[in-house]
Amino acid sequence: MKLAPKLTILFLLLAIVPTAIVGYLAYENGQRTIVQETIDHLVSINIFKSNELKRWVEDNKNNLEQMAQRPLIWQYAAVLAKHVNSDPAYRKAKGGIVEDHLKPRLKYGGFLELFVMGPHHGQISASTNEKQEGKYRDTYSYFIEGKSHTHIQGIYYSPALEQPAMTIGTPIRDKQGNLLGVLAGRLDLGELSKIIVLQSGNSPTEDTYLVNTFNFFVTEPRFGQGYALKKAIRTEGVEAGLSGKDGVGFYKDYRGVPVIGAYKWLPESNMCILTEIDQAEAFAPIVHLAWVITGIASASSILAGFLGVFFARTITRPVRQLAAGAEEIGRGNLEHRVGRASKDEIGGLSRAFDRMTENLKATMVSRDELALSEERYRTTMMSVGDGVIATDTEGRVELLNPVAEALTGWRQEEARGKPLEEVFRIINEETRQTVENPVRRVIREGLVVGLANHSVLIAKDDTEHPIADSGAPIRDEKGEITGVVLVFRDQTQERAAQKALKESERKFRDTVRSLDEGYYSATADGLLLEHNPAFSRILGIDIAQDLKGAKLPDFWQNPDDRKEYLNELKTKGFVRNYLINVKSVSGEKMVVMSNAHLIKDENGRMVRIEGTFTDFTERKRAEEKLRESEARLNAVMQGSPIPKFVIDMNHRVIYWNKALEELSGIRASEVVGTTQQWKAFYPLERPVMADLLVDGAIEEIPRWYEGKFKAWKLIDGAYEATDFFPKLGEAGEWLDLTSAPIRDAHGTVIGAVETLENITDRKRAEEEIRRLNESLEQRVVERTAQLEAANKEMEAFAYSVSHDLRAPLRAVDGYTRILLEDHAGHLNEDAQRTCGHIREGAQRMGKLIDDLLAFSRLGRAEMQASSIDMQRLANSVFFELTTLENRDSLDFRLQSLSRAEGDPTMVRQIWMNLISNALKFSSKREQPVIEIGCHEEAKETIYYVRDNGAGFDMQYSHKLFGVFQRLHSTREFEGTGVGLAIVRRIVQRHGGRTWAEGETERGATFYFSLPRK
Amino acid sequence: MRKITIASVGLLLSGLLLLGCGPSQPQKAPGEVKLQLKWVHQAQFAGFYMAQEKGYYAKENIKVNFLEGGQGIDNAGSVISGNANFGVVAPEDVLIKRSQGAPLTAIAAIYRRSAVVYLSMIDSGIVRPADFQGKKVAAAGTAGAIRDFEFQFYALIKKLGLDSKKLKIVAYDPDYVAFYKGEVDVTAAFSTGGLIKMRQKGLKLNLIWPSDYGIHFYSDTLATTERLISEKPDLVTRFLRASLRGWQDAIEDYRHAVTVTLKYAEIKDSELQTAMMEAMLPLVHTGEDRIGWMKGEVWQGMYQILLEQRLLARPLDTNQAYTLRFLEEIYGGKAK
Repeated sequence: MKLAPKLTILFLLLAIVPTAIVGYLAYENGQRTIVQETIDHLVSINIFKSNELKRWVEDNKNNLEQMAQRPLIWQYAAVLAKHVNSDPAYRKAKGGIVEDHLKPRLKYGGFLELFVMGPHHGQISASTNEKQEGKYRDTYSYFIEGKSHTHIQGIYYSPALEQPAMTIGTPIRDKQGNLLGVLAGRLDLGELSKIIVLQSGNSPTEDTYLVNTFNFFVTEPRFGQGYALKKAIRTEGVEAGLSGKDGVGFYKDYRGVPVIGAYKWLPESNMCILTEIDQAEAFAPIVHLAWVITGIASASSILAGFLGVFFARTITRPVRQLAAGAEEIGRGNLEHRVGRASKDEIGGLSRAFDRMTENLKATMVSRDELALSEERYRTTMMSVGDGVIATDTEGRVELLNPVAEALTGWRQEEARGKPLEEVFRIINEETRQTVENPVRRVIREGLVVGLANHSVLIAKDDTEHPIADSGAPIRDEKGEITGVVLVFRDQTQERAAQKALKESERKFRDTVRSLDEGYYSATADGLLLEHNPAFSRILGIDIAQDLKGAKLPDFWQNPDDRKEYLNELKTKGFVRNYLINVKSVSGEKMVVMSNAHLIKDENGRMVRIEGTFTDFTERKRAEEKLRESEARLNAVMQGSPIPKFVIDMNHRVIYWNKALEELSGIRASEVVGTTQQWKAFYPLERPVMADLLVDGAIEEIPRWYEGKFKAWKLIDGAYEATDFFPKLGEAGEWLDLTSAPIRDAHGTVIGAVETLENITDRKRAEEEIRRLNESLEQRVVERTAQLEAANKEMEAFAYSVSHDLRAPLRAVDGYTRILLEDHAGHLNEDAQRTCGHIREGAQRMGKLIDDLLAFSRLGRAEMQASSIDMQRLANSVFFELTTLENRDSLDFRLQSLSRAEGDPTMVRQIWMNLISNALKFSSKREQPVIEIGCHEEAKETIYYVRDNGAGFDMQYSHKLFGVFQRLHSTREFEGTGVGLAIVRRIVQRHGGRTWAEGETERGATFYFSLPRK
Repeated sequence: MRKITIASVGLLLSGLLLLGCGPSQPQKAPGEVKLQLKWVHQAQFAGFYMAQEKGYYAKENIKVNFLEGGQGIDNAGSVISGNANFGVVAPEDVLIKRSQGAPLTAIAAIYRRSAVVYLSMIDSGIVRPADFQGKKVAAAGTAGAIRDFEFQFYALIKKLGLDSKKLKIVAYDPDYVAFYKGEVDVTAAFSTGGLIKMRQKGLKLNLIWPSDYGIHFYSDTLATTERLISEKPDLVTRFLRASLRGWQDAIEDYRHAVTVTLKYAEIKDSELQTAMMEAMLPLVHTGEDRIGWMKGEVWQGMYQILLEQRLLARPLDTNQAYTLRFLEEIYGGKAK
């Protein structure tokens, strides 16, 4: 531990320990004193109160005795004893004793009740409490004992009084000592209570109370209520007191609270008295004392602590400084000075310390410098990239640097002291003879011996390295040679590099030689320096010929052109694809394409021209041909009236013909060479069909031409599309575009051509037709609606008319009937007949109207479609319309009929009408035959009803189904003529047809068809 | 050293274990005891409840079942028939039944003072039995405890030489209707019952205690058959000991006794039970002797009264009716 804390602790101990000891002792002492005081106090209270109690009881007892001995008393008592209470003497005596003696005494306190009891049964003969008179008290000890001597009956519970009571009884005797009675007095327990409860000070917990031998509280304790003679107490104090002891204890009271209690046995009263005080209260001063002492102790300790710290620091500071200084110096900081001015030992020590530091520093500095310098040299040596060996004057190795170690294979430690030859073995590369050790020469001549060539160093492991080496003397400051330093380098790489260079040069030469292009290098003036065989070949020179001294301008057709060529060379530093008109040796004119560049020296002067060239003549011709063909093509394209354009593989417009110019309003000059072909057609940039084909992006076509394109069958890979281009023309044009890719000889797409056809007019025509169709349809719909409406009106009209006509008819028929019936008397046969005719006519008309009504209803009635069993229907209708007799004479042939779809009610009507007609018209025949059958067609089923009746003339067949059309008179066959019209109407409504066939007198067949679902 | 310590500790432990196991008797099954109470559960029997709750019976290895008494229940008969082992009975029942030949014996007197008291309104001027002359007294009745009123009443009259003809004795009404109205001048009541009720009503009364006039009756006594006493005296001792301890606790801390009583009582009126308890205390703890102690002269006195009132079938030796044997054993022969 450090000095300062040590001192502090020491200080604290010095301060605390005595304080603690003293404090503890003081506390102990204080505590004892306080406890003793308390105990003394409690005991004294007990003594005091018990004395008071005793005195009080004694006083009252004496009082009572005195009273009992009064002559008047015993005289009265004698009277009372002798007589009965009905006796006036008795009453007088009683009155006297009570009024003159007993009651006045009460005023003096002590007693609540005084009474006299008879000597035999203890019957109360006289009492200050009249209600008590007559009661027997022979069970009470104050009577039983009181007969013989004064007896105090300890506190007991009186059921009569319903409260605790304490009574003293004393004998009343006559002069002879005969017992005349017992005088008893009930003590005022309130006074007793007061004595017990009386507080000496204002202690909050001090408590005195009495306890009887039954362990019951006799007086009320301070912290209880209703305990007196009602609650038992068994505490340590009580047990001790009741066992007859006097003393003090520390125990828990009736509340369970720790108390100090003094107990005392009161033999006269047969009770014990206890005075208790809560330990908490009693010890409070002790606690207080403890706190005070602790407080003082703590305060002094803290103070001591602070002082300790302060002094400790003060004392130890110089020492600490010294220690710190030493540490600092120890770390190496020699600048640090402790510095101490004080005159004490520590100051002297500090100063000595500083002096020592100074000296040390000086030594260290020089040593450091030396070491530094040494180090620098050493690292230099070690860092040198070449091998360095240092020897002494005898040629013994002293030092090898790492490179030397690597090359020689010797480590410094191994090599040191060895002769150089052993370590540094060199031989001539070619002769493989040992080379003279340069060190000898250096020492001999004292000169720097230079690099030898072709030396090979043999390392320790016999590997060889070609090296270059040199040696120099090491001289001291006097100039004396103290050793030799040898420097050598591994030349392996250098030599290899040289070889590579040679190899590279050779390769280059060979390449140039084999070039197809003519290669040359020349001076600025054109003096040929070098050339390759191709050069000669192209220019028609014999390859073997030596062209030394040849001049390039000689080859130019026009040497003046060379100036331009040179110019370009000079400015740009190179020429590319430069065409030169040259002539071959034989004078043949040709064109060459040349690439050349200028080589400058460091000053920027042109030194050399180097270049290649190829024979361009052929190519030029080919190019010209191509251009011609192009021009031809162009003319064709331009002349075409169909707008078209061509793009190359880079989407650039190559051709844009005149027709297209007119169509689009974009001139060729504006668009050729650009990728702006879209501008002709669309407001925003997007690919045209040709673009897509050039890219081969077939899958993109639907995206751009959705629903408008299809592959053009005529050309492979070509597509056609139709679209409306609002940009073109005045209000947009419809164009039909066709595009096809252009492929080269290999099939690679190199461009695409697109032709356009203006189909606006055609489109417009189509549009017109479509619109007309629409309007036509519309008209048809309207017309149909009109017809429908007309039909409906007609039907309604027919209905209302027939309805309206019925009423007057009924009137006619009715009144005529009345006439017939009521006035038959007035009417003659003729008249009656006439009436009959009128009625017939009216009825007939009525029937006609009904039929008309039915007919009109047909038109309005809703049709309910269902599947109809035609067979059953026809059969049932037949049976309905015929009687058994009819059927006997009838030949009814019903074939099996297919089911039909229709409104059952209406279809029934058809059968009704047709069958009833058949019956009607065949009725005249001897053997009427009615045949019903059907045959199925593709789209309809045809039903027929055939009879062998009157038939009809075919020329009137068209009339048959008309309303009111009859081909026979009513006389021949009755009927309104509406029946067939109804049939036709119904069948029409079902979407079928009606017709008939017949021959006069040969029967008729009526057909109707119903559509098959 | 360590080994020795371990060994000795081990030995000690095993020794303790053996001690614990060895000589301890196998626990006998607790004796079953049925106690016939004089009435329904109420503070009147507080001591028995205390004995039960505090485990005094259990400590005596007894399991006690309480049989409630009530209207029409013959408590003494219950003990005689063996339905109950012990019974809280009126002392007169002991004498009467004995005179009829039933071998009932009292082993302790719990209530050494009678709760019977005669009440008159405070301003009626009736303060002593002599004042009964010419007055209407509601004291007649033969049902159960009400017989008590009659016995004591007639005993009072006789003792004081009053002429019964000069008094009007009417039936006792537990609701005191006529008394409240003033139609009856004096009514008998129990200080532990009717008196409490009247005071709760706020009535001020004169109390006329028979004991003030030499009529000393015990009230609740603890009785059993001669047979049980002769066959299982140890059981009787243990039962009585526990019961008396319970009663001791009850009178020493009567408020706690009330709390315990409320666990048993059906009428959970703590005010009522507390008042009853307070009224009871001086009857049980008389300041004399110990709880349960009996005096021959009191028995003799009771016997005389019953005999005079011709309530006994034949005369008997009162010393047989009660025994101090168990009390002496429990209290160590000391009355005090």
